Amino acid sequence: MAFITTFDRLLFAYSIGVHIILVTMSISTIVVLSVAEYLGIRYKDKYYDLLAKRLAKVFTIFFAIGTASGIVMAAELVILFPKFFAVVAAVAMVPFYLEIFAFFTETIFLIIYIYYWDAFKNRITHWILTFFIGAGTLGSAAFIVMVNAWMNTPNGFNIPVYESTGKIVDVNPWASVNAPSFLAQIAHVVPETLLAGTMLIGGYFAYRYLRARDSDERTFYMKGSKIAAALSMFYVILTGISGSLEASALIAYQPLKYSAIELNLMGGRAFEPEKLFGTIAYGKIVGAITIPGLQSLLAGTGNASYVVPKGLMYYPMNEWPPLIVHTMFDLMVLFGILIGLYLLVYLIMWVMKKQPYSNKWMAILFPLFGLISMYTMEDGWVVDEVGRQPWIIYNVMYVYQGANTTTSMIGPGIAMIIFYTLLIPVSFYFSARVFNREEVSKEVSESQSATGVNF
Amino acid sequence: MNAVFGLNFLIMSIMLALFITESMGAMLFLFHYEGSRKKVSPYVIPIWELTGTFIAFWVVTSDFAYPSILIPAAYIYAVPLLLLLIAFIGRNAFIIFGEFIKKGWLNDRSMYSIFSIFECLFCLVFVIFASSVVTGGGVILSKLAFNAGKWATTPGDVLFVIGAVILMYGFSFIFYGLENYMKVSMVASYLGVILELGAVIWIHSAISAVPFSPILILTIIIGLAAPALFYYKPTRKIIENKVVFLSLLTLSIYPFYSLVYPKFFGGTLPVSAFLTNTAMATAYFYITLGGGILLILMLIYMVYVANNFSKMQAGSKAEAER
Repeated sequence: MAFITTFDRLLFAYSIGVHIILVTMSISTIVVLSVAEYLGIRYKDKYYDLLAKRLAKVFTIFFAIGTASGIVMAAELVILFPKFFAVVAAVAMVPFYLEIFAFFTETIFLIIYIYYWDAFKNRITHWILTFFIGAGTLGSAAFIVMVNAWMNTPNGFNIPVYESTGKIVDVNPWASVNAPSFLAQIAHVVPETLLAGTMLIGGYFAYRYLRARDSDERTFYMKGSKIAAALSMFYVILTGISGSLEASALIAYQPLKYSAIELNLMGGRAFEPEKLFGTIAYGKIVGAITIPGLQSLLAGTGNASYVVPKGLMYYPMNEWPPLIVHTMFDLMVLFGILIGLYLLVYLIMWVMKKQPYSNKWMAILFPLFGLISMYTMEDGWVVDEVGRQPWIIYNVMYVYQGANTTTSMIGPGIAMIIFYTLLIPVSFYFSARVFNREEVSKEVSESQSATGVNF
Repeated sequence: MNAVFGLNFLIMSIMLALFITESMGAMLFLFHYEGSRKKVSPYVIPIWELTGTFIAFWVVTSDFAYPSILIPAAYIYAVPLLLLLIAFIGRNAFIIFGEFIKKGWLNDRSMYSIFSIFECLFCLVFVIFASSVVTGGGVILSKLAFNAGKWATTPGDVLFVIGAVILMYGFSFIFYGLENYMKVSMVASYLGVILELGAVIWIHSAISAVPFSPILILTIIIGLAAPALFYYKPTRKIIENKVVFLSLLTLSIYPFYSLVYPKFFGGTLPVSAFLTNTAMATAYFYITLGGGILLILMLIYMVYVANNFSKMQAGSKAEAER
């Protein structure tokens, strides 16, 4: 049974890990696309116009694959964790249901935007459609994060009665829309998702800029890099601020998770040091780099005498999450700082008119930081999800209690993993192929309707 | 009838109507690509995204409506559900590749063919799943397992699936207005209707708990009338109209609720035992109402833009001919 539960965990973790990449690309692409289209209209700039048109195709590809994998997620939750989902369905189904209407908004306006591009004589009206698509895309993500927040801080039913009898009573369907940890979580998830996708898009533009064959291509990719870098600067600031809020929410609602990610064995004291890396072995913290007082200073937003929550030793060991979350958390913060520094240098160069978008070294580093951003975003989710272990619904249901323990899905599950493994490279390959199918100079020199997405 | 059940079945009927028309297009892509492409693509290519969203809509409303059925369903149908998922991913991936990749050895035709195979696989597994929910065929409740061999030997199940496939093939020519295939369409449609009717009667006579409700006459009438309307020239344009056909198809699917309500799995399990609690049912009602209005408004806007675009294109074409 333990093996099947682990298999369920791995299958779901792998699927959602892939799904998050697709969703991140969709959410980020629609914003870059919207800005590009606006700049194209505002400055009558054919490069921005072309960028919008090409990104529209890429968005459709990620939307298509993302939709499919989103449905896979919904079905996998039911198939792999039926007892868990039975509780969700009886208590916290409202966000899932609302998500469907956000999804419809995204789909219908995307159909209008893409397939009837030339039906809009007023370009501004066409551009406004991107707001509806974006609202649908971001709305879908927000509603799903609502469910995740509910898993971290469950509410909306009588938990003591459920724990003692297994019966779900006193249901308030609307409570799940506002789980205690939701606001802090969504405030962090949105900018970090946008940052990861936009950095990757910018990285791709920078890579293509380095390989450009003519001045049209160079101008085209340089303009793309500018948009991606400017947006990323904005997102990285929001990500940093919201990350601090998220930590405060953890202290308030999930102190055990907080202690695990900070590697606090004792905790419960002021002037707590920050421990970088390391782990706990034989009841002691080993291998960590310690910075005295820093953790209290950060957690207390400048107050070094802030008393951090009681540490891991105050909880039964079988309720500790795997301590790898501490290393993952440190890596996430480290990479976040590096991304921030890169963007700061980019900004300084830009302000000093040093043209970072056409600087060879900045262009070489952009793809690297794009990949690091995507890794960091996934890393953050690992910290969130592994940090909740062994619970699937925090303090209510363990993962093994919710899992499907039949062996029949192992075969199809492995097929699913193989399928997903192929799908991601194929999706990125086709997106790149669609994006670069025609020469920039040829498309820019053609008339507007000829370069449009005509079907 | 229980309102939550009724609403959920209505959403399923609309979803199936959309999916069936899309699968009919996939069948034509597979068997009559050259003869049908120009008629099928303009419908399937924009609408597949909406169909996919409707599938998600139905999945979520079902989770919402029947939370306690999730545990047995996940155990019993784990394998068919995973197959459905794989087919769904394949469908989405290859239709989008077909849309944008037009050249090379993996051209749009290859992509659409692979899309069609996934689409038909999805449709086939879904019909098997649906017939099993009606008859309980292949379901071993004591072990919470599904046995495909047992399903195949349940009276009427295989005939139901074969009838559905033939009927869809026959109807595909009607929906896409392929008048050159009129005779094939007539034969396949009526054969499909007869096989479906035979399957339902067979199921009813073998499993008396599965009722044969008079409301199914509506389905039979629509099934018989559609090919006749297609054959008769003055009414052809009416039945070829996408909105009319989709509405009739939804109307003809809805009466199938009588096979699973008030009991399903061959009359062994009452629907009422699995329905959600009152508080959630109320939330379900209000969200469906609000979301439904929003959805209808958005669809009206989409149809408005599409119609304007068609007029624009027709105008440009006429001007070019002059």
